[in-house]
Amino acid sequence: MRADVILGFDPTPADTNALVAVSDGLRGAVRALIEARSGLDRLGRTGSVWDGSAGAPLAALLRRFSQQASALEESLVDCLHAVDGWRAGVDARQRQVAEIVATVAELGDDPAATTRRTRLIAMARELGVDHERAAADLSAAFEELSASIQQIVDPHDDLAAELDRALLALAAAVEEWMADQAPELLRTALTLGEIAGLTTVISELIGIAALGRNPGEDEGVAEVVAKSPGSHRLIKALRQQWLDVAPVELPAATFAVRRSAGLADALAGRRGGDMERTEPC
Amino acid sequence: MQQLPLVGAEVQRIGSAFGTASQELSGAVNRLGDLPVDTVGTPSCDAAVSSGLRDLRTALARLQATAEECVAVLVRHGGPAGGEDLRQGEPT
Repeated sequence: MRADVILGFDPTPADTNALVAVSDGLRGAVRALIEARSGLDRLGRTGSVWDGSAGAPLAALLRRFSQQASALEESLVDCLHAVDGWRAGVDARQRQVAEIVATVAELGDDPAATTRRTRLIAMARELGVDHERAAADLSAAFEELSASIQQIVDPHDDLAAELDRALLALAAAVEEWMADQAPELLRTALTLGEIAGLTTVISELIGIAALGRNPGEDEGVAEVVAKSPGSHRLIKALRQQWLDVAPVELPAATFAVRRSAGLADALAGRRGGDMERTEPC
Repeated sequence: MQQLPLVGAEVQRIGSAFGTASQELSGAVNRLGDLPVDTVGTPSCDAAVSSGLRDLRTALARLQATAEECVAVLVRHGGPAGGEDLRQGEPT
């Protein structure tokens, strides 16, 4: 039975199916925000490979995006509580109104029930007042959400452009480091004797691509080699600064998932050749 | 300066994280667009809910676009798609 037909008005307008959909939609948005930031939260932590003047700006950008998502998530959770509270209130009020409507319909036009009918309709109106009050709270929650969004998301923020600049600065820092540290790298290369080890050393020294593994873990090293072009950088540095030591034919930087000892073998061969040449002495 | 690949693994991980963020946020934006917002409660309440959800959708879309732009930047610096290219041989 419809309240507006029996009572002449609907004191508690609200579509509970629509409310369920809105509630589910907001929950989905909260989940999406959590998923969106959780991957970034695991990267760029302080005390990690992103410390230092070249890496820290990148970590700061990741945090900024994550914090925006987190702040939005908090505002949404507050709003979701308001929606769920409204939903529960609507259920209770609409049940009470349904009982009133059923009773008023039963009473019909009986003149003897006029007083009771009037009292029931007054109760329905009181429920309507409560409903309006609760609706105002829900409105306030969504207005607060809108206000929070204005604070959280700056439409002029250009995080991608800043990321681009930070990555260029990091690339420059890596190049500079390679130029400065190449002698030490060469010594280490000769000691380690394989390109996988070289890549690990590069990664560790420039503070990147630790991958949560320790040097010397073969699987981890192989993965680094497969995914990191760091070995190419070393080859380039050797080519630029140690033409008298680096092999003439350098191996191609394929980065395939396999261990490549090309450079190390070549270096070792050169060293071996030196040793052979010294043997007669 | 020559565009050399950065240390690929970490760049790829960041690119992958932004890619996930973009996908998740895109899904949320689409779902919010389909919500029935004109029968949530009283007329004034419906107007506030509708406005709030529109602002939320705009904010999520902005974050999604940022994540997408970051993915594009990271690809240029040797991220996910660029990483594939780098495996073809010596970077240029």
